[in-house]
Amino acid sequence: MSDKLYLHPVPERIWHWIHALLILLLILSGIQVHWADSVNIFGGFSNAVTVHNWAGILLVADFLFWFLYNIISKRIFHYIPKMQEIHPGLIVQARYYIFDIFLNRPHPYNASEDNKFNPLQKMVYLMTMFVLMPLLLISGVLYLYPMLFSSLISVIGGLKVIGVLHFIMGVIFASFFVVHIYLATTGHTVLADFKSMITGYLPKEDH
Amino acid sequence: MAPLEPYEKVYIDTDFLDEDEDVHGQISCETCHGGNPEEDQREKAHIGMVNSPTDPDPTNACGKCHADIVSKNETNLHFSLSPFKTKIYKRADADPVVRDKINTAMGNHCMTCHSSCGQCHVSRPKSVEGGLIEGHLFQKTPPVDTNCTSCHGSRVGKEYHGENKGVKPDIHHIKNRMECKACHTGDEMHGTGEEHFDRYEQTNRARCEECHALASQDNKEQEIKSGKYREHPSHIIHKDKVSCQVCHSGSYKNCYNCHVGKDKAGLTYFKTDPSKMNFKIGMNTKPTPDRPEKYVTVRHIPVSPKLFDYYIKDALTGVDQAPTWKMATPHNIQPKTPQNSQCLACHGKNELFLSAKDVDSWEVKANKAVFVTPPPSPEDRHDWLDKAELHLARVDCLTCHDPKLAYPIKDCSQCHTGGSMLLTGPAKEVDYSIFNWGFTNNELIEDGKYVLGANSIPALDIIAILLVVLTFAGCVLHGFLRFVFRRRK
Repeated sequence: MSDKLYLHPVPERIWHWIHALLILLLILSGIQVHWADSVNIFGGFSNAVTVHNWAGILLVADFLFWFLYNIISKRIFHYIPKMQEIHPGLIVQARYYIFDIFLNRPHPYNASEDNKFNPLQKMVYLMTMFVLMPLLLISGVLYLYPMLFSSLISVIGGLKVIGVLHFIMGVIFASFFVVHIYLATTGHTVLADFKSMITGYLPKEDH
Repeated sequence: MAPLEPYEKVYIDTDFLDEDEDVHGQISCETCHGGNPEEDQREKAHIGMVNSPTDPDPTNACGKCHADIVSKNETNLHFSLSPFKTKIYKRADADPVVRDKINTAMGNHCMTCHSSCGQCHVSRPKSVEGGLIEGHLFQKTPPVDTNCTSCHGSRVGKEYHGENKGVKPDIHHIKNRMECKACHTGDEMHGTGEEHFDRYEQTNRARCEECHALASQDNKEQEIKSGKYREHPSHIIHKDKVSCQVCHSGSYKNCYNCHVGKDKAGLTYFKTDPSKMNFKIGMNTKPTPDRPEKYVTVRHIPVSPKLFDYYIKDALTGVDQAPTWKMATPHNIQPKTPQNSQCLACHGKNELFLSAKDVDSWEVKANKAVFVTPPPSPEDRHDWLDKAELHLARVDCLTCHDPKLAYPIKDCSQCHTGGSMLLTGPAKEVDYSIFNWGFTNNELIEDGKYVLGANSIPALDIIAILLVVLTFAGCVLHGFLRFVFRRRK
């Protein structure tokens, strides 16, 4: 029996790193676009807008790929929590991050090839990928083509509503980005999860 | 123009003999008109009499008192019509026989439009059958109705008085009832004494800037000092590039084709195609220091390759040697016109600019220098701009193309920022506090414009920064505690 789990097939790993790069570019360019007078990362507002627009369009394609891939491959079930994972799973996992981790206690939920996310991961990914990401992308697309979608934008309340919603979503994803990277260090070893996103394999934990 | 009653043509008012009314009445008739007053018999007395003593040479009649003006007579455009000759000769075959026929034709038709001293100041021009004006009282300024518009009536006169359907009269006529002389001085009418082959070469011609000093760069500093400076940005932007009429004239009459000949009774006639109201901007083919504009209004002149066919066939072998669309100064000036209503009313409206599509095939070569090569459309010029269409539709062009700036603004962050240039008011300090839930530059939003970067909610910005910073700090603290506890273990 192998001492490694094959958690992340090639398409998922490629998708993940492209997704990560796009999100990073969008956060940085978004910061410059929003605070144009005090931030200059891409050598000018125009460049930042161009980067943001292209990265945004690619993110839409990237999201659609992720969604279709997971539906077709049926790996979407990795993101759907079971009842016991919601209660008491969420509390157990939260207690682990708040207390148990400092006591070096084992992870309450170990990843398996059939169930690679812990309950908290499932809930957060479910929320981000099925609610927040669509909101982010839809508001972004409306923002990108305001003339094309002028009627819809008007119904929603104008560009100011779209702009504020997009900003809030962006901030949430920026925070998620920070937390996501940090929690990736809480695996079996600090680098274990990073390595698994490169190789696809995660060493099995000994208890 | 109403025709004169037969008696008016010959009637000499007795006031003419009153020194207070007209000093010219103190000069004996024969001094100017010749003849012999000593003779008793009419026929004998009239021997050597000239009907029009100033045509062609006014030296005898006028030279004694008005030597300076008379000295310019030969070069006076009203007398010489030299631009006509120049342009026709340019188009005509150089063969002497052909030239001779053309001279005959021009003498019978084109050149009859000329005017002498007397045909402006005493009678109507010969071309409109003459006739004394005001009973031979000399008119220092020729009357508009009987003299100026008798020749310049079908185009300039109608434009100025608003007689072309759907086109307003000239603002100078409506507002101040200005007559021709207000702009076209005696000096201009009498010429400079130099030979001109184009009326726009004459340096003392009427110029808008004579009165409209605000449009003149030369007077700008003085105007600023006196606090009167209120020049429209468009004048700064378009100075020396676009003639006044390009922005301020309405559509005007253009004439097409011309055939001259004689009827069965031997009377001369000319025929033109129906004129068309149009407005076209063309290139100024002869820019001069006092008329440096690149773009000018151009008018189609009545000319045709078959112009002189009655006299000699195909005489205008060089018909493509001179433009048929000529620089023009339409006399229907308005402060507001369709083309100056907004920048994009001209920029990108290629139909306003003369092109090969506007002329017959034989005219293409002739007008090549007048055609305007369509500049890139505003959309193409702004293709570097993200959402160019949106910017062009929503942002006033002058926001970026402010003539007070040395160059058009291409730095997006000057508008897409808290202290946005889009607001014309003085720059304001933005209240970046957690209590400020209003939008920055809210005036833009109230104006229906949400501008990326310029409109944000300061309180939300603060919360956003706090959220990300606290998240990061929380992760660092969590990691630090993990590190500490593991070491203890």
